[in-house]
Amino acid sequence: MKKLVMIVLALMLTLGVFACSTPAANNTPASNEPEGKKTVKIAYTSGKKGDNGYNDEAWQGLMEAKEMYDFEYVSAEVDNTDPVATEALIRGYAEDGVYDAIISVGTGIDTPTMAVAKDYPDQKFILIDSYCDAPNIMCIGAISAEQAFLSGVLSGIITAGGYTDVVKMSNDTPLISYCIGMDNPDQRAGASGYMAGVKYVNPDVEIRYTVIGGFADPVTAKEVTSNNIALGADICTGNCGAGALGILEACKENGAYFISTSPSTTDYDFSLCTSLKLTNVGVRLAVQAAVENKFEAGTHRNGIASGYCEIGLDGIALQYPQEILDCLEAVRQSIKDGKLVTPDDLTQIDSWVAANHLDATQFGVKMGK
Amino acid sequence: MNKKKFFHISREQWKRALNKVMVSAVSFIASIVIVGIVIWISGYSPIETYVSMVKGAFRSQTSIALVFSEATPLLFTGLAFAIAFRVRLVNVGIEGQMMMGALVGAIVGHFVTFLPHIPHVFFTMLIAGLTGMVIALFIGFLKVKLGANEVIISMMLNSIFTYIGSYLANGPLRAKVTGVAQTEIIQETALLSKLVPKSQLTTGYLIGLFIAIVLAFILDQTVLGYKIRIAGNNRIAGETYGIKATKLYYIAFMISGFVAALGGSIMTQGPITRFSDGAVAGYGFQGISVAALGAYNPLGVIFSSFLYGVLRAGSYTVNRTTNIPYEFVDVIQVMVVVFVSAPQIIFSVKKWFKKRKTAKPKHLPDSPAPAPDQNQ
Repeated sequence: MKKLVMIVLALMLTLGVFACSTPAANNTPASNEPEGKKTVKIAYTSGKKGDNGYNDEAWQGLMEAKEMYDFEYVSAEVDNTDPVATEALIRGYAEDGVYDAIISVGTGIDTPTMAVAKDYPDQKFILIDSYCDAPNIMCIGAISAEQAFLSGVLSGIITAGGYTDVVKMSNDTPLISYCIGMDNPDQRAGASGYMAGVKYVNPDVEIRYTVIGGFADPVTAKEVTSNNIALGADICTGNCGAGALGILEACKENGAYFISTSPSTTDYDFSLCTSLKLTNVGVRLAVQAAVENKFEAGTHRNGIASGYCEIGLDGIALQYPQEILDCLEAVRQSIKDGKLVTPDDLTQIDSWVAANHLDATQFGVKMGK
Repeated sequence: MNKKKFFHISREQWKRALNKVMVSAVSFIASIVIVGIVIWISGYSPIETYVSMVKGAFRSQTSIALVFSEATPLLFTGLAFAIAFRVRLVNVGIEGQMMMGALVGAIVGHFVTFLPHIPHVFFTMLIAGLTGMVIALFIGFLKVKLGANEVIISMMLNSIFTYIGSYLANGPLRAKVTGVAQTEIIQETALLSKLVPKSQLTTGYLIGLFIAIVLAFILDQTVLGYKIRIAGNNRIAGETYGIKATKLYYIAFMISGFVAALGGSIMTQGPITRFSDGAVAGYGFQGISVAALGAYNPLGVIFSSFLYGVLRAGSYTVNRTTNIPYEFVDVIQVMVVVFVSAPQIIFSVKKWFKKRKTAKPKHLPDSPAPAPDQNQ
């Protein structure tokens, strides 16, 4: 027994020798700053980086902001499906009390943040993609309908059949397959944005719209999509989380085109384009709000105008002719100018389409053969 | 049972208890050392990491509260695993039972609106606990009547319950305005009171302590506890004396399921305030580690859950203030299980030293780390 204690002590000592050699990289901001000029301090939390998607994109936003603004930051990662850990982490930053804003990225972090915000009414919190109502929480997110609007316009043009030399279509049926994960306001708004985009240039297209019932169900998504392709759909899209992989699979097997909502599920050979929601822009806006003292509690939705929502064409194998790009640019501009407002629910589509129509031929776009 | 010798502990018992404490302590320290080496190999300073962890865990009133709030779910799952293990039952199903407890807690907490504060709190816990009890009873039934292996059954049931919870949180019980799979926030009347303001620590921890003490009392001082111990140590010998192991299986499973589900409900009624998909995931499996470190003794579990609470609370500080990956805390937990479940590692190392001592009495080697790959 005594021996064992000795051994353990010896081990601890050995470890101690190792320990002194490598100091841990510590990114806590220095506390001794010159008087007068106060640097803004930001605490940043997100999900685990290295996902080659959402969290990496958000981190990239922080790095971009670092180039643009003068501030110091500390960062931490947390699994945001674990509300206890998320709250503990955010609470720790709030308790430190030295940060001008705590920026947290992810869905489902509203409840933990609310719990902390109640206890620290003077601390400012900025959430990306989570929404709640508190006097010291600012929520930044995307206008769901605008995420896929430009993709919709492009799909509408392609489905008209004038560009079979660029995008190979297997048939003339004006049909598009669309799968959503859940029937909730946000998802419906996203779907209606896409549908409005399609019908804005091509009102004759039928969009088969299916609720998959979950965000982790590629099998159902694939079945639904394959069925729609058999019915004549040449473009398949959706917003259903991991279900996107199922849609992509169905497209690959049957030679249809896919539109993803994230670069991580974009297949450059099979994708028509990507409906981007640029989280890095959200983080940049959050940092800007903190640095330039533009903090404003409440929900702030951003869309195409601020560059939060975009159509992603980089890396796509298809080469679109200039007139299509001109047409997309014109649509983008009219949204930026506020001339065009996207509908946010499926029920509004018919009246919206009746009131808004773009004749794409004015840009030289071929609508029909 | 001799009433006069109430709480009397014999010399032999002391020796055995000390041996258990030694195994746990050495396992814990060895895990810390091994993980320290891993941290060092990864290019960080282990001492600085551990110091900042401990400092972070005890820097203020709220951080100490965090230690206990982190220990709360582990206390429950640790107790649940330990009590079943005393009759040599491996209830891996505490993960699923806890999740169902959390779910039922969220349902009762939200939809029951007519009860005042205290009754509502206890009613919610009771219903949640009973749910876990029924689930565990079902596993017990399959084991006793059909001869099923409880590890496999409870493991499989975990998946079933996880998906039931996921379905309900995604579908029928989903909150109105939310982007993620979660139920509505429960009524204020069902929420546990906070023990320390500005923290996640609720009175749920005290309930856990109370249950631990009750279980310790039952195990050590009652006939039932005596039977449980006999059935666990030597089932056949016990049956010769008329101690029916099957009945004890049911009892142990029921207590285990109740405690696990109660823990889930306490998380819902405490820091989480609603049921969300994956919110209490992992506590069940960590409970195995907690119970193992606590030598499957309820009082030991109080201590081991506290220790893990320190580790976890400290890991948040490490996460917040340094670049060191905080997942190493999980590695410590896993290493502990390896050492505790294979105590021969420790004994053989001890023996090896005794042998070396007789061979070379004056020499003390300086790096006799027990090899981590020796997990038999």
